[in-house]
Amino acid sequence: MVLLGVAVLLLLVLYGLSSGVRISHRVLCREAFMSGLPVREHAVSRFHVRWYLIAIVFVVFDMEMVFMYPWVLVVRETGAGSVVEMFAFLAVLVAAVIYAWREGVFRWT
Amino acid sequence: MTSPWNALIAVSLLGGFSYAAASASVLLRHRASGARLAAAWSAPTREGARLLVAQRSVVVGSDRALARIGSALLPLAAIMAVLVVPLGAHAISDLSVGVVWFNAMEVLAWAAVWMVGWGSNAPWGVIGANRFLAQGLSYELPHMFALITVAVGANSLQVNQIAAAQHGQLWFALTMPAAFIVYLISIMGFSFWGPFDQSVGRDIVGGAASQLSGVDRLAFCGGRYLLLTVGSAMAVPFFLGGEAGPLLPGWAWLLIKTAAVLAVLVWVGHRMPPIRMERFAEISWMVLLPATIVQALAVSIFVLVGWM
Amino acid sequence: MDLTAVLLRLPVPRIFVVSAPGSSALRLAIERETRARGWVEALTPANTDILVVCGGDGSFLADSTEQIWRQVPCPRAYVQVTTARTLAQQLDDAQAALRDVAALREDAERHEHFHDRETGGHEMDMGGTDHGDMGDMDRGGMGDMDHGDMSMSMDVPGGIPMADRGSDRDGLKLDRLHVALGPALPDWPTGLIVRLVLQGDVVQEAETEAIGLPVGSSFWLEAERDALDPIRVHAAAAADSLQRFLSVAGWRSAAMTGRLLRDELLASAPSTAHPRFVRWMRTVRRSHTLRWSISGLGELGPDAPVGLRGDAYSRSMRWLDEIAAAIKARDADGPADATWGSQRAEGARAVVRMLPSLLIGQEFAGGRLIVASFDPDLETLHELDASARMPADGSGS
Repeated sequence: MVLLGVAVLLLLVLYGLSSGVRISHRVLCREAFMSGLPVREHAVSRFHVRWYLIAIVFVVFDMEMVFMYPWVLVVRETGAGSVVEMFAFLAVLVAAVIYAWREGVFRWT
Repeated sequence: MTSPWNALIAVSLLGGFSYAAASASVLLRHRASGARLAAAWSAPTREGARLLVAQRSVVVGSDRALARIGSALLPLAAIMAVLVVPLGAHAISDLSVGVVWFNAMEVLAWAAVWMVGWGSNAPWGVIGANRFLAQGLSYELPHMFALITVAVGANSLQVNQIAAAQHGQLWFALTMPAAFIVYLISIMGFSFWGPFDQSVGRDIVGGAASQLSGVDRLAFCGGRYLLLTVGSAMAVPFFLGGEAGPLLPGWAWLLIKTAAVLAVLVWVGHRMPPIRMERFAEISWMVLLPATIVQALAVSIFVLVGWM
Repeated sequence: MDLTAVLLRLPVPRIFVVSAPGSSALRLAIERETRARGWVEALTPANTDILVVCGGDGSFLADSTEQIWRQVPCPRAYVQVTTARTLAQQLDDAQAALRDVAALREDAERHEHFHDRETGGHEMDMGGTDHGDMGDMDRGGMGDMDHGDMSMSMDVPGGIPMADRGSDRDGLKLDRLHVALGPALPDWPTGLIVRLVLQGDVVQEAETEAIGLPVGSSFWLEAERDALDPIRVHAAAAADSLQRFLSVAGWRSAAMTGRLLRDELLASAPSTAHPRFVRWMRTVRRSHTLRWSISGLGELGPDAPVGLRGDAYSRSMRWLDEIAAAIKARDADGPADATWGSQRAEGARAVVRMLPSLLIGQEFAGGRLIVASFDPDLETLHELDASARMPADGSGS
């Protein structure tokens, strides 16, 4: 693919140029910024992903989107039937979203 | 097939528009702070020079490879998305599934921002990275429904055919306003711009980008403007009738419309305060998502009864 | 080689300001100067070119400064500001130093890496490898760093341990990350340190500390005493707090205009009634997004001092009221609130005491906004010691 070539080439030129003009080739290894105090521990920790329920609802929808792209191309041929089916399916998913909302999934902290 | 010249022209245009967007952003900031306006035009060049010369740095114990790939991935995704942006009569490569391609490239931003934030091994980066995922989960579905609405209206996933479907009739921005607005919001979402820049927010001292320096930072920040530009460019064939317009040639209209969308987004970025993610998630799921689904339904019905 | 020198002439430097308690006047001077030059402030050392330290002979801040200086990649320059008179010249010198290729290369070669200190670089560490422009900073304190705890094991990078787990409010076992806010953080009240224990981005524990205090003088209280028109000083102080709050909220342009207005108010410039400021106030006040995004944070009931009551949004709107009072009624200056200074001091003391309970359970962004919505002026604390001691939990005089 030509464009990929162009893109990679441009990035290589950028990084190459930088390495040519950079003030020093040593990569500075330092502590993470902590407002001027020493770091107590590494930051990569098990992060409390409080929106994981949103992620699950999202995955449900995202699967559905995979069907929707081909559906787009056949709407005209298949007519009302496919529209009704698709939006009935979406209505079920929206019902799930409303339920999730009532359970407070979209509010966190 | 693709000629390298087409690719070069497209990429240079992308770069030019991004540069202008960065300049305009500095211009607005200088206007707000009472600094010299004339300096804004050279500001991106000066910043670029600064970052090219600067030493690279990493945090001890951080995942350098992850962070570096992430920051390079951002501009790469934006440039690859240009593949399906129509230029004049044709895109570089007018894929039959251009919409899906664009969608896929734009989702790479999720990976890129997360990799940079997590790979920085700083609390700010980790918080920023996870904020961006939460933001992605919120804007992405309405965004996809907006794209699908457009595709239903044009009965095609090919970008040129979508633009062509609007010739001689109302632009999709007018027939599907909800989808248009959601699309504009989601551009700011995936380029973490303006009201949606919480993943690189000032409260977490730059978030995902907090530990970047040198060329890595240049790639990351540049990539962000490239994404904003490519999103604006795609708004033109999707919603603004592609190259349709009186008097001027088609390519001129493409450029004018792209510039207009980009200008609006840059302005909004300065005019509006950021939205905290936990508030946006609720609005996005309970207002934007149903709105786009209803919009898609309406357009499907229009298509069935033959209005589109 | 040559190209590097050419490129070095282009950049607009990014500065990182470390301000010691008692140096508000210098901080304001620096902010005014950088704004006028169109320079930008860096958010982290990683993106900094010039490290500016104002005031700060206290050993605590010297340690922090040194810590930050080590994190600044080359090219870098260091400026210690002690008086506003020489500030412009010092910044010019620093900018010139950022163009001296040979010196910068030498600095980069000697730039001390974290690894160097951990593994065998110790004599170099202690031997005073100060860069010429660093002055005589005390290097003692940082040699034995906090992370060399019992839990230190050799196979973790840098000798820094991983986060330990602890149970959270939902009954999950999650990593507890210790994060410090302050003393050297952009848009942060001078002299305040808040130590947080985070699980994810939720604040689990918080404790506050006011460092280097009390100092002998407070910029805002003195400005009020000296001013012919105290209302303008009140408004300038409000504008300073509001610009900081807007900046933390991420509304950059509005924050910049707030800063400009503050400087104009302090300079007693006649331009403060300029339409742009009126427009700015209207924009901020009418922003639904701001209200929607921020309201409900850090709610304080009637037992708090008057100036602190309400949520973060109502506190920020009160600053706006103070500014509006100075701009609109600038001919007919009514009687200024005589208790302004003591209220400010009372508020600062109350905030330091109440902050932990307000922060616990908040999301990180919410926590930062809460602190910014109080913007405690810790320099005023000495006022409480000097004047008749008021009860610490006084209900706003």
